[in-house]
Amino acid sequence: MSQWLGHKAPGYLNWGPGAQGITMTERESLTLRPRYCLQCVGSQPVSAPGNGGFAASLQAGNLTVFAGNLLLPGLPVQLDFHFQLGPRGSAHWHGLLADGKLFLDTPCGALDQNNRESLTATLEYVEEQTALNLVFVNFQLGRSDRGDLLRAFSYLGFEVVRPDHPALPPWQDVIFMVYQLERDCCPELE
Amino acid sequence: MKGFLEDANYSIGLLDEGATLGDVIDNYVYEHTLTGKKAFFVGDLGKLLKKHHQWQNVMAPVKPFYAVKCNSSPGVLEILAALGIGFACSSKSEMTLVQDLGIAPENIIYTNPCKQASQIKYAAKTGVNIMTCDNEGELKKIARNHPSAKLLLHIATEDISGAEEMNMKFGTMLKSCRHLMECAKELEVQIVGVKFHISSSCKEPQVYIHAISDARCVFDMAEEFGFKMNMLDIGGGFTGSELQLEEVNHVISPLLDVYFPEESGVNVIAEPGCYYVSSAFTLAVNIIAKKAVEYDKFLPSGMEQTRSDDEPIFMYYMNDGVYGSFASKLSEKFNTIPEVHKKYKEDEPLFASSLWGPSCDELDQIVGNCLLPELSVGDWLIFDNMGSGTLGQQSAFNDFQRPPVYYMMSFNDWYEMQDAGITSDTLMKNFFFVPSCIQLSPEDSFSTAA
Repeated sequence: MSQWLGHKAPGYLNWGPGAQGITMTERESLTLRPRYCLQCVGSQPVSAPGNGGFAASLQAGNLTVFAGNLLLPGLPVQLDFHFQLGPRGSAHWHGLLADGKLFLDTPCGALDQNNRESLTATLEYVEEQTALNLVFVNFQLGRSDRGDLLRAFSYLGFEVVRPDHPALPPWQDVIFMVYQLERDCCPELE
Repeated sequence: MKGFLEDANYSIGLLDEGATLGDVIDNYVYEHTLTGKKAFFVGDLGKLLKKHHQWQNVMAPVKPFYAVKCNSSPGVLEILAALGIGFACSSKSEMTLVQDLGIAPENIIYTNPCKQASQIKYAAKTGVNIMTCDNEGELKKIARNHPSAKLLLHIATEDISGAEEMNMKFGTMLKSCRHLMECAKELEVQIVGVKFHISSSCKEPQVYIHAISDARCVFDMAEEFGFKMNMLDIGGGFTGSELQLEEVNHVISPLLDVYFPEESGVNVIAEPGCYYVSSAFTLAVNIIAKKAVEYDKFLPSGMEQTRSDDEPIFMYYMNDGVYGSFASKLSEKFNTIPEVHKKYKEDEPLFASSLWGPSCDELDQIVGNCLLPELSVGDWLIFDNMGSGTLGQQSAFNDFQRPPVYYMMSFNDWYEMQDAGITSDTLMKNFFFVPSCIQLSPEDSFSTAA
């Protein structure tokens, strides 16, 4: 996992025992959506392509990162971020990692005060523990809170992406917004 | 910074008396019609000066820190820099732009609600110390990366705009402030003030009253902890309307006198963005496609059902849309009806029309329903008040080619600027003189901006 995430500091990684990983065949690609998080889905849907279990998980404060199996280089991998909100449960950002880009599904209630921390914790993890430069959120066009989401994400530094951009997965009826990590191009001089 | 170097050689047309913004637009419409009909912006930098005078007349002594995200085009930043106002930046590239103009770090505040570690480190490296913070995670991130930062605690304000759903709440609740201060104390990070933000749709007196009194509570609490508090940031949300500005001042002036009098030594600042730039920019777009639809076959949302004849409804597609300069249309109401550039008779019949961007996307609608004379492909439409949210920093990922920007200023405004001692070397070399007596002909044209 560390190879393709570009881990810089294994530090506090806590590798959980993996259940059967998500299986991906060569045919499957970014046409698949991030799905089937066991905690979100009450029971396993019969038609799920995989068992929904994850290969590995990492703990970073209130954030738990779950990663699917990497079967073949170049194929997208599921990467989920679960943020503990205390007694209220957790907020989940389900994602797909492909080609140096992370695509996150926006959960319902993404905008509550407490849930915003789940997104900022996720972005902080991506900045400090990976070498990724682009994080995308996406949400349904038809969501009633679409305007609020657009404004709020924009305030955080996300920009809307034109729907026909070649780097976007071919998911229907969603809006994508991209967040660029402004990493240092030069090493810090003290 | 994407786009900045290309724009570094922009020029500002100085208009003689008699030449107007309309003449400038006419000229570029003419020129562009001959060269592919690309959309373009015209920016009247004199308007920035006027807005600044207005701010000083109405809102002094509140010091403005211009929200760079709103419009970071070089002409705007140079003029505002010459005016000596502060800058509120939300990213490393914005801080760099502003610092390259020679702005001292004390005149820059860093206001992103979710800062990247690399951005915080950059701020630390370049001496930008004042930054906002509204939660513990952010506080810890700042403490790790810029321990000598000076924080403005961002407190939440009421949302009275009537939305039923929860809005992403920015700003911490009053009841969480004590805990944040304890954390800051433990992490040895200084808190120096309070910020709140009231959006333009929520600018009721009661919201300001509560915000300022909450801020006072936070100041008192902070002083208990030993923090030296000296700054109050009343945020932005100023549309540019003079009436709105006066109303806000009318409400806050007495409150500030009571809670933060001059003797208290508290500097009051604000973060106007839209206020300065919105009215300064005009966007000219071209119609690239046209569809006539029969009324009874198609009823776009918002159309009134009062028609019984078989007049067509026109759908026009422009060469700029929500994935370009009209991005704010996606999240806000966009009420501007454009002007038709070509001359048409007073009694020309008007038709129900809708305006769309160039993508084939259902979201790419700019105006749902308006009355316009019948237009043709190749005609120009002029949108006013396009300065805000159109010319901010683009990420390198976004490959949208922005329309060129042509800057101008009336001679009177330029003269007043000189008179007031507002000048900068870089600015001065960018001006060129446009006498109004020259007949605009195919051989004459303004220097084109980068």
